Amino acid sequence: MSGFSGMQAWLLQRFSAIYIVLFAIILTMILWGGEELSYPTWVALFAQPWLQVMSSLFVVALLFHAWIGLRDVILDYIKPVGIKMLVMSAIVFMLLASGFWLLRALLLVEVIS
Amino acid sequence: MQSSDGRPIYLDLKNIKLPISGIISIMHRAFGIILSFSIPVLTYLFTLSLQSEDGFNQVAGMLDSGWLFPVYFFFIWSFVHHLFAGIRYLLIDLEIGVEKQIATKSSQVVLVAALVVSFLLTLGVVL
Repeated sequence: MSGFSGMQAWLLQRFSAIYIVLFAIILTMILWGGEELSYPTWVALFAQPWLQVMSSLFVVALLFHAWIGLRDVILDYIKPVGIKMLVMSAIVFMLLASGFWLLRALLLVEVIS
Repeated sequence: MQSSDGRPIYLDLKNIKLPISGIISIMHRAFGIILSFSIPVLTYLFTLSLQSEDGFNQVAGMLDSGWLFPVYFFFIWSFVHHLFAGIRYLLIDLEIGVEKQIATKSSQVVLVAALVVSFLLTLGVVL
């Protein structure tokens, strides 16, 4: 019902966590080490294929991580099946909408630049 | 109160004295929820910043306000605390630091280190 078996969720939560941290560190170092940000440098940064791929993977990792975490919280605290389903659906919608919007923006950078 | 299999559950919140490992665990959850709900907000800011020069300047203007220091601090603290507590859980998965004394000590380290590192990072972002 919740999408993954316990073991899959457990593993995915940990591997996605590690990727999220590595990506956060890399992006922070790039932004802190670089020159003052302007629109052209910002677009040029994300137009690089390697960062596009890594960012897209980050979006996927983040969505899985957030979903498994929120799912665990919902399963712990919300017992009535109807409300549980409603809240889960709303959260899936929020996460998927954000994710697709992010991926769309990341892929369109190439067109803009 | 009773659970479904008849065992009593004791949930008098005012009388439960949570150990520090419990406190950082609840914070790990609460911050995880906050971070999840920041995803749509950050998505909006990120996509707007890439859309056009106007959008970029709009986002830069929004993020530049001096009164945002507490917001930055709270967001960075959420991330760093969630991260540090998460590393502690990974170590516990590997059966490192399971003993009560060490678990208490590592909880204190997570709580304090997260606050200090978050404060420094926030200063770094703002200044």
